[in-house]
Amino acid sequence: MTPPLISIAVPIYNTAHYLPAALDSLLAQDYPHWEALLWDDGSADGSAQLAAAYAARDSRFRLLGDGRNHGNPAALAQTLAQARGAFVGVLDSDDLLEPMALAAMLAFMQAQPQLGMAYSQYVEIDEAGALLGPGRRFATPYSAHKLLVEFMTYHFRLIRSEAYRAAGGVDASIDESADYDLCLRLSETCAIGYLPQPLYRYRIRQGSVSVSQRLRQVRSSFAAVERALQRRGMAGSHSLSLGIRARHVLKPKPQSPLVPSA
Amino acid sequence: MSACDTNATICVLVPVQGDGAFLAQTLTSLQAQTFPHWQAQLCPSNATAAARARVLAADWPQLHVNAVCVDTITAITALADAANASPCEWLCVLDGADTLAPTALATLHAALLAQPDAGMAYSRHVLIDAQGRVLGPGPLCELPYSPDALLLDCMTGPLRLLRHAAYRAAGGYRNDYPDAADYDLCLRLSETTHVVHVPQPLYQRRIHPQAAEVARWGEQIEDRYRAFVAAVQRRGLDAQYDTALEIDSWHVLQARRPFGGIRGLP
Repeated sequence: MTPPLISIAVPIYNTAHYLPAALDSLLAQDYPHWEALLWDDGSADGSAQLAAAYAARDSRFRLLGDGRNHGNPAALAQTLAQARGAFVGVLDSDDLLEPMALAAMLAFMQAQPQLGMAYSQYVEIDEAGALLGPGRRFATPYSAHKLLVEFMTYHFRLIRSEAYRAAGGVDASIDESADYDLCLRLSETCAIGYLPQPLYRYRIRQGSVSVSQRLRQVRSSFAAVERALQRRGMAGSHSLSLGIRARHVLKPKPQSPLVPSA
Repeated sequence: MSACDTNATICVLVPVQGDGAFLAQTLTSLQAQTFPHWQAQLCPSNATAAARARVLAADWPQLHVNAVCVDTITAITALADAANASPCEWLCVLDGADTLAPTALATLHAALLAQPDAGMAYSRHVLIDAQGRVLGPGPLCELPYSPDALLLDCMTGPLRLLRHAAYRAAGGYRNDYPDAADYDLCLRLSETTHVVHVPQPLYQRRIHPQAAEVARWGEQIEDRYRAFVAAVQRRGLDAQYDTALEIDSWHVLQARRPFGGIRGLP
């Protein structure tokens, strides 16, 4: 029996500094039957050339995109629409997969054919790749109801392609929380499992999210849950409110190394 | 009508959001002040609020209704114009949905008279809902004040009495950060004058759908952060410190009950 193909979407936008590590983490996978869908979304930092170099080296890397910037959700939706695998997943172009990630997730899902999606634990790393510690989102046990208030089905997710399509796929019109919106819809149409192994390295980049973008994320996540309540017929029976806390932070600047005087 | 009658020493600026549904309660609390020498300038944000304000002010010479302000920038400009035009020695802002305790103006006035080097006094406050039910104490005004602490939390409000001279010296209301104009003003005041905290709850702040912290929470967070960054730069702290904004958010999902129940009963 032919082992199933896993399609990993890698939307890329100006991440040349981190992209080789991300793509190398795919090359290092124990499970070899994957394709990486590299969508460069109009980068201006040489990311597209890096992606092309990987595609020239290994045919499992497929180059997609038209060189223009479509925004992350649109890029992701178009990328996943071209997936050929029986399973799909996403690797952000500044993050990394652990070497056993695909093998472990595939085995987990094959052992539980009723699952449409599974997610794992993740760890957080800094810009230099140093380990910051375990992620926190997965600490909340999953349920379709709990997902309305907490996004615990974070990285790394592997989705059965038929479940992905049945849920309607990534909604390209959603600005900042397309992944949360997709998970909410999947939670309404299929079973979701949790593999308690850290299989993903999520990079925390200082200043990578602006204040405006963070506020858009908050609004967009709230709107995703409002839509979920409508779909689930809960809008009349439940009220949803948003809690928010904003903190001004003053951080001492890093000390410059002393330069000896001449 | 002049901005301030000959006996008035406190000019109370009253911005009125939404349809001014709570304005009657606000003005009643003003009328009940034990400190009699005040004059109010009502700044409505739309025609409905303006019409309501005019009706309420009709028989009351201490109230003056300003032109309608259609957005936050013109609202701040209107507040600044009213403050600048006032010959009163003291300034105060009373949101048109909130209410004052009867001794509010007298207490803050006495606090500033007792400390001639202070340019601003502020009190504690209580949060209430649209129906007037008490939600609890305003959390930030419980925090200790210092000019540095004010960078991190806006504890100086919402009730403040300002010495007009201190207001002018700090540069008055500006519309650089229209959704955080009060915070911006307090930051500048904290750099130019002493601030007195009166630890009494003298103000009821109403949390309702048109309240700025509900209707414009995102804009308020952004503008407060920008005002904070500007203050850090003004104070020369940016050479030593980087600034950041951390935002936590959470969803609260509650089942609606057909009958709200009575507290204390099973």
